Amino acid sequence: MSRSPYGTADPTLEIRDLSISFPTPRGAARVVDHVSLSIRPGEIVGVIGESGSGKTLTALAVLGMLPRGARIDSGRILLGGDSLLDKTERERRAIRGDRVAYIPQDALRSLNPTLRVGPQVGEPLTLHRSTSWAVAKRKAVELLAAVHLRDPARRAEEYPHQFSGGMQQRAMIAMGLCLEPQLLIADEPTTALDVTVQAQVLRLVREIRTEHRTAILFITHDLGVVADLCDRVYVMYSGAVVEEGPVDRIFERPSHPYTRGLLRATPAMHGPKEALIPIPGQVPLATERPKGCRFIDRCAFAIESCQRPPPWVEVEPDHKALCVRTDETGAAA
Amino acid sequence: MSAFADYSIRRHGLLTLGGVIVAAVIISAIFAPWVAPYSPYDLDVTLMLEGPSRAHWLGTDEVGRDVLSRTIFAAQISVKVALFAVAVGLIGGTIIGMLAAYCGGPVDTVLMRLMELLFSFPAILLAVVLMASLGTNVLNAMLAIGIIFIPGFARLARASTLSAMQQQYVEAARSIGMSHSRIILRELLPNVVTPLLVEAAVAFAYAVLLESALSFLGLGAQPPDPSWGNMLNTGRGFMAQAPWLSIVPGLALFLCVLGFNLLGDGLRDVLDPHLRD
Repeated sequence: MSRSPYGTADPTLEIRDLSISFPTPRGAARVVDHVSLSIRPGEIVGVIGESGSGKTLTALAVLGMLPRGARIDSGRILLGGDSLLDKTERERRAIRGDRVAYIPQDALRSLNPTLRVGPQVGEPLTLHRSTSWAVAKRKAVELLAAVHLRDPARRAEEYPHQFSGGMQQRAMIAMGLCLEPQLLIADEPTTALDVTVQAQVLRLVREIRTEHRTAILFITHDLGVVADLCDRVYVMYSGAVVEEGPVDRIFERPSHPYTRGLLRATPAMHGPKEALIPIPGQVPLATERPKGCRFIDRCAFAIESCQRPPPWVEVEPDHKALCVRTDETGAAA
Repeated sequence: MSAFADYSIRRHGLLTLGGVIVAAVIISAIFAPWVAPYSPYDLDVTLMLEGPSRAHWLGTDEVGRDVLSRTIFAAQISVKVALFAVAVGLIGGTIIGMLAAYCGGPVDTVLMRLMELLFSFPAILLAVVLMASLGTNVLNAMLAIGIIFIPGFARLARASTLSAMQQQYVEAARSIGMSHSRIILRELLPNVVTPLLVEAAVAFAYAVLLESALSFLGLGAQPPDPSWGNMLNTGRGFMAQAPWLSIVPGLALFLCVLGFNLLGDGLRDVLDPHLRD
């Protein structure tokens, strides 16, 4: 079973069979293809994949903030049982920042440069609870203290450019925590940060989970961060989830050839130095995907039956891969 | 190193010069009744077309009014018209440009094609047409000049808004559930306003010039109210006997426009982040 102690609670977020496409001159580009995932309260779930794998769009769909032109072809998104896709824009706006918080990719540009940090951090209160700015500012100082910013009262009066990268990221997290959301979506929040600062931010994320039992969806392309932080992980490739399971199982027994490739292309922290092996080829364009398995052109294990769409195979309890050759790949790991 | 320092001193020198001229114009406009030695309307038929003297430093006009006093009072009208016209252009253009950029799609297309339509008329012609249909008085001159300014401000506002909308903080604002109007006013406006203010300073100079042109054509300030434009028009008839009637308001106009242009250019340099150290 999952190492998460929250294995049986009802999921905070459940995405079922979500597909998103963009119209292009060469037909609809399926950028998110039948993605399903779920997160329970207090669980940190990682979504890992290269840029363009659809992980950010999946997150934006949860927020109801898909870019212009994107179309949801199928699927359901349930937040604490409420179907988000059936809601109006106004209802979804009431959910954003209140029940769901989002920490965007580049926190260093996510604070408005012309406004002081304090009012920005406390702003969700004025938006969703109609509090006064004075109350929001007091709350902002508390929040900045909670994310371990030194001298929060003075910091709240400063402008974003007076903050270091790590401090801006922590301010963004503070803003996200303002109304104690059920779900926190963090989109590569540590990518732009120094390693030491990154460690502080990850520790903060873990603290949030234990203190508030917030469900956290953590999007990243950094396997090290996943190993360090997450309970469960979904591996995305070219718009689809290709493997899912508890983090330790996936690292122990990566079963989709793409997951194996990712692990072999990442330097190991401990143990003997092995040569890094890049995955040959490139991610296919959404309009030019192979008919069968989408990884077939880059896969060393490809056989005849990979020309057909692959089934989900349960490698071990709670650990599945979208590959017919899991016996081979799992054993070879 | 020293070349750069020289350059920076020169740049700020021009900005200061512009600021001083603009301040002088505005102060003499506001305090005209106290600054001017005579009333701009007092006739003295015994002193028609007198040259500069101790009593009348810049001479008198064809009905014996003090030219210096009329020039100072004329600044009042110029500043008032320019201020109002730039405000109309700035506010109207900012609203139209930001809406076009934020809404995009058909709203953007319709609004911006309308702006191009306005833009395609020569400014003076458009002003004359507007004045002809609205009637000739100072208020309508302000409105006409303001309308001429709207497309320029709208284009600038649209471009700045489009680039501000690419910024991550707009997405962050949406992600905390901010409404569209609040995003426009709180997140975008403060980031769009700087280039618009610089443009406003330059537009101010142009507004002063346009107001004079309209008054020269008899469409702006009506006699006996003094305006640099109608003073120039009067002076034209006495070019040989009394050149000061044209030279004085012409010089005032020149200095005023120069001042606002220097201020606008200087502000742009100072506020341009690429030139900031």
